[in-house]
Amino acid sequence: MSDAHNFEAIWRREGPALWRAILAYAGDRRDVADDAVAEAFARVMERGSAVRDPRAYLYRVAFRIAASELRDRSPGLEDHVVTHPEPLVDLLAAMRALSPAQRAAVYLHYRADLPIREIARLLDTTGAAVRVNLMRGRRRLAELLGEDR
Amino acid sequence: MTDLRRALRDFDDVAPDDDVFRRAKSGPTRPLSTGNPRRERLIAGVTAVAVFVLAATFAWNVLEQGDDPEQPMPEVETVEVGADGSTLWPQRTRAELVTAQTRTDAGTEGSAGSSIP
Repeated sequence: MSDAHNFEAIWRREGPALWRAILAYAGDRRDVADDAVAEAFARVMERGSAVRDPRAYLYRVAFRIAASELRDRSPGLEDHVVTHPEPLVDLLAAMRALSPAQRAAVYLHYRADLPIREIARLLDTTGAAVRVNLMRGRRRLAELLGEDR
Repeated sequence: MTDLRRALRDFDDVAPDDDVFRRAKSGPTRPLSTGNPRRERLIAGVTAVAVFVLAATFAWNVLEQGDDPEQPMPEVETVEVGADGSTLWPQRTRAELVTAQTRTDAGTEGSAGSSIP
């Protein structure tokens, strides 16, 4: 098996980063992040070498599943929220005020350092939509956190 | 932006449980979607446009027929025929026959063989 399809290695390399991205996207919903990432990895392992770009596939599938779960599940399941260190608490509270698309754009651009075009590809949307979500998310966070970001 | 990047680094303090990957190794738990959502949206959009065009065409045809007053049914003229089924010569319509008969009765019409312009 080539390294590109060594899924244990892919999990170690991409799993935590993908999970954090989904956690940010889902507004700190651990249950959604766990389900989406587990399902994405299950599917990519099932398809095996038929997947040309496992990383892109994982992100696309995980975000798609997370979006579906956020639509289907009722909000306010506080027992599934992760307990965080203090600095992250304020940031996550602010991010929950953003839409999922804005959260994803902000996290993937400013933490995962992905270009707009790549974010659009992973989220199965357009670059223009990502730019708008990024601008609005950034502005909203600046208002909520009261800092010049 | 720098502050936002720095703040987002705090996410690194959280990590998934190993249970997530163990669950993944058990296989998918939900059916795969049939295809590309963008392609499905495109197909849905094209179908919607086609339905709209068909409906608009139908509605246009109905409205266009309504513009013209209904043509009156052409008057069907009945023609008296003789015993052998031939029409009475030279009259070709009932109106002509009535006129010819009236004239005959009035004495102003000749024999049946006389022509009427």
